[in-house]
Amino acid sequence: MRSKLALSLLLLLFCSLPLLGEEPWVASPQEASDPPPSYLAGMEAIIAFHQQVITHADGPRSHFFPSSSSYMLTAIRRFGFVQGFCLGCDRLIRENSDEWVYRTIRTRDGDLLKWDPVPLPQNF
Amino acid sequence: MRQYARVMTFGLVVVAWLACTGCSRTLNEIEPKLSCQISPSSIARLPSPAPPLSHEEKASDWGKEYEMGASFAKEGDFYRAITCFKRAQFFALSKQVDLKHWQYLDWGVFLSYMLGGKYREALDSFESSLLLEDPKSFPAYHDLQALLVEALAETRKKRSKEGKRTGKASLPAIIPALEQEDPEYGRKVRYFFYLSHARLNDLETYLAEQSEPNPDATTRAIKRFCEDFRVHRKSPTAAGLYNALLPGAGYLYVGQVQSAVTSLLLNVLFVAASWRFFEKGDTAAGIITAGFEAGWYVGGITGARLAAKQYNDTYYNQRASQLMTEQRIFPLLMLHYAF
Repeated sequence: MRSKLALSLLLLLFCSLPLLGEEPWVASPQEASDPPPSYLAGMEAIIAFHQQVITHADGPRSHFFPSSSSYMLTAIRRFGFVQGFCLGCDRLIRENSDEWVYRTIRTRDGDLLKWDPVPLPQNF
Repeated sequence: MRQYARVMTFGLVVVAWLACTGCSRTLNEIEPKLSCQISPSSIARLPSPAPPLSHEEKASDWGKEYEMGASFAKEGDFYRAITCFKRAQFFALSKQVDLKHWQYLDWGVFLSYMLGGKYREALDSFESSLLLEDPKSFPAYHDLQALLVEALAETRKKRSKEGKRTGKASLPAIIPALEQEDPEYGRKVRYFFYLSHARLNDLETYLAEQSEPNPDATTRAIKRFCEDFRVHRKSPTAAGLYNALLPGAGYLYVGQVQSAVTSLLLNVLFVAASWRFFEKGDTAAGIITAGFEAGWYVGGITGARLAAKQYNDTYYNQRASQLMTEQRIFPLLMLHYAF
């Protein structure tokens, strides 16, 4: 029980680190063309697998532009693993047909998507 | 188990408090993105600040370029207009052209840049122009002052968007001077400054200081807008706090119903699963589900705060743009002179 308690508290502390201004796997400012740091490569590989293999099973389903997988990828690169993962989770929660105040953008295929880019660091 | 529940609850409260208060002051600030539509025909109807050219002036090189520039500008082709005005300035260099004509050429370049949305270039052209020489004698002096306020506001926004530190914008000295010369015009420019920087506190303070028993229609409309925005504004801190107390409540507070239901279901599901796994002794599965739950929970708090900010920005920009267009508070809608 104590070990589970300790593990749970460690997990909570880990998630709260970005809120304290510390990010264990920080994504330092880098050019878009730079290769991702090795400690983020695993997460990026999982997202890339979803984008290249899984999503083609039933076609594009995201109500947003950029898609949720791209959103999480960009968020992780911009804010680091933990904060980026939390932003990605928030995006997945909002992945529905709520119209709300989102700006819209029409794709080449004529689909109307909600425009919701990853926030910039200076605005977050 | 009780101790475990207490410690977990305490830990969640700490995380929630950190998420709600956060280290981001910018979420409580509005990002104004105001816009107005100006048709070329409305600009073409406005008189020129310059008197008509004499026969000799029309026949000169600079006179022809000046008239071509004015013609292009009235059609809305501002880039060609700027080229013609600058060619006119080049030809005028070799002639002894009156200072007033130089000012009209500089005004043509400045106004074309403003209408083309090139605010930095407009400021640069003004700073190197002869409009600085005896500006009060220039017929479009008030228009020039109002447009300078707009150009300064837009370049400041652009710098802020580029991530450069800008600090709080101070009231340009132009505005009090303009209010002394033309109170109604100056008041509108002041309203534009406060609204374009989303300085509602300063605006309300200014409105409270106005002691006129019968305020004009513009002032009444702005008061109604301020009251309306105060009522409808959402607090990012409150949104985060609601989501921390009950996952989904923050989304509901800002109006996202489906997201609220999704957030509640996901959090309940993953907390229940995590608890069950730990009870059964399956630590690995418990940690994985707890990890996902931490993402849904913290992500929900962050998302609710961002959603409140997005709601405020959209509400403000739509209503303020509409107000400023109807009351003609944008400097480009207040022009008395054009080309």
